Amino acid sequence: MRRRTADLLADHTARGAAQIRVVGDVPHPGSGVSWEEWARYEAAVHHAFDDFPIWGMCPYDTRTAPPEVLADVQRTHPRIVTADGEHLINPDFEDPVGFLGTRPTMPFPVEPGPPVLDLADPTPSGARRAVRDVAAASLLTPDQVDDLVIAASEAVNNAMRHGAPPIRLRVWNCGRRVVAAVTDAGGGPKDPYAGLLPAKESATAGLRLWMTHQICNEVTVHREDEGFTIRMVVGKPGISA
Amino acid sequence: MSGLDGARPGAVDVESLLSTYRTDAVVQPHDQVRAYAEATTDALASGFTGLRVAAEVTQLVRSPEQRDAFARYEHLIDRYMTSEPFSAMCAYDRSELGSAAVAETACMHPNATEGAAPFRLHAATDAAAALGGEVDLLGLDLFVRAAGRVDLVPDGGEVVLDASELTFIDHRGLLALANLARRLGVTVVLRTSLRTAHRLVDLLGIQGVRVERPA
Repeated sequence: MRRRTADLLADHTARGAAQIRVVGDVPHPGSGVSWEEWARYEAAVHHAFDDFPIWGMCPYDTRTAPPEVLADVQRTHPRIVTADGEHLINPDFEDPVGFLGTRPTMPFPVEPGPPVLDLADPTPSGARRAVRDVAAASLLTPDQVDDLVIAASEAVNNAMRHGAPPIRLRVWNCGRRVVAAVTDAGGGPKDPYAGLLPAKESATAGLRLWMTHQICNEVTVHREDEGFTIRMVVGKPGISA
Repeated sequence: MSGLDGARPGAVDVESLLSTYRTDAVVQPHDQVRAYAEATTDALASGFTGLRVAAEVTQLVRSPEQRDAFARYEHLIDRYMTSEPFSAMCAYDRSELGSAAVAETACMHPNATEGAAPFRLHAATDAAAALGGEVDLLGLDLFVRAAGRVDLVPDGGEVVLDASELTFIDHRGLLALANLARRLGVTVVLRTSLRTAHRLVDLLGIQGVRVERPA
């Protein structure tokens, strides 16, 4: 969850707000954005702001949101407000951990063409240099280059610390977006909230993964035969044309 | 000593390590700096423009205790060098000591053999210390030890680090600086143009560390 949102809520609470109302319009394929990560967000957001007296509403336009999105919305919200203004207790609401546990494993998206970089067992320092070289040759801004360098460095650290060898780093230069993928032979993090909520203690894999979600435009995780892959996109999200 | 045939008498001295340092002992940082300061004064009095020392110091850094003291000494002598006509080069036998042991003292030098240490924490003229190279997960423990061996003198409640040569610092390095700031009761000012440092301090809301662009 965005740290800035938490700061904003803390600020309101400190100034004596007894209840904070938030309306959050969540993107979905009907508005041109892939859904899976937002479905995970919708489940996790219940605990993200536990410390605050918060009341949230997520409006979905039933004319444009696809049926599978509305089905997930039904599973992730304890109450439903209908177009005629009725507030109903939602019997289909599921425990977020249970919901997150049922999410499908997404196949690794096919990028146009082979990676421009494919490194076996890089050091974090080697990964930073290699990613910087590729990203610097793309159309990313200097800040975006830096973000991808941090993200890839942390992903390699994570794989070394918590994953299993061999570790593989691949980078695709798609012009306005650069994709970096770090794969290790392990099973990936077990925490269903990994990457969605900052871990309580600093210097944990949880904090690193959360940070990666903060600085990349898109982060997806994939579990396949080869192992666990974290795919990080900086620049224009979505699949390149 | 070929190539020095034309040199004036006294231009080059070769001394045994035993006469300069007691090799079984832990170096006494302040005493050692004083000895080199006297030698530099003597050299100037004899008409030389300064003193340069090259020392093979493998014997002095065999135990962790020796390395700790030597690393502290390295920083003190480095500070002396920023203002006096004295310079030194330390040689360590990596095959005998291992690279982790060499990194303990190599990281306290403004210049070191490539790959000897991931970062460099050394004396600076216009800051409490200078930090260069990369501070990441692999070098974090070493960085925490090195920072503890440097006597960082606050100026107006701030400890300024000249990090113009810093090429990377991750959030762990920045959190280590935040711990240092808390311990010293100061704000640590990291003077760097690295955007990543700005980004991470802001994103994680790290307290006690201010990232500033160099003037």
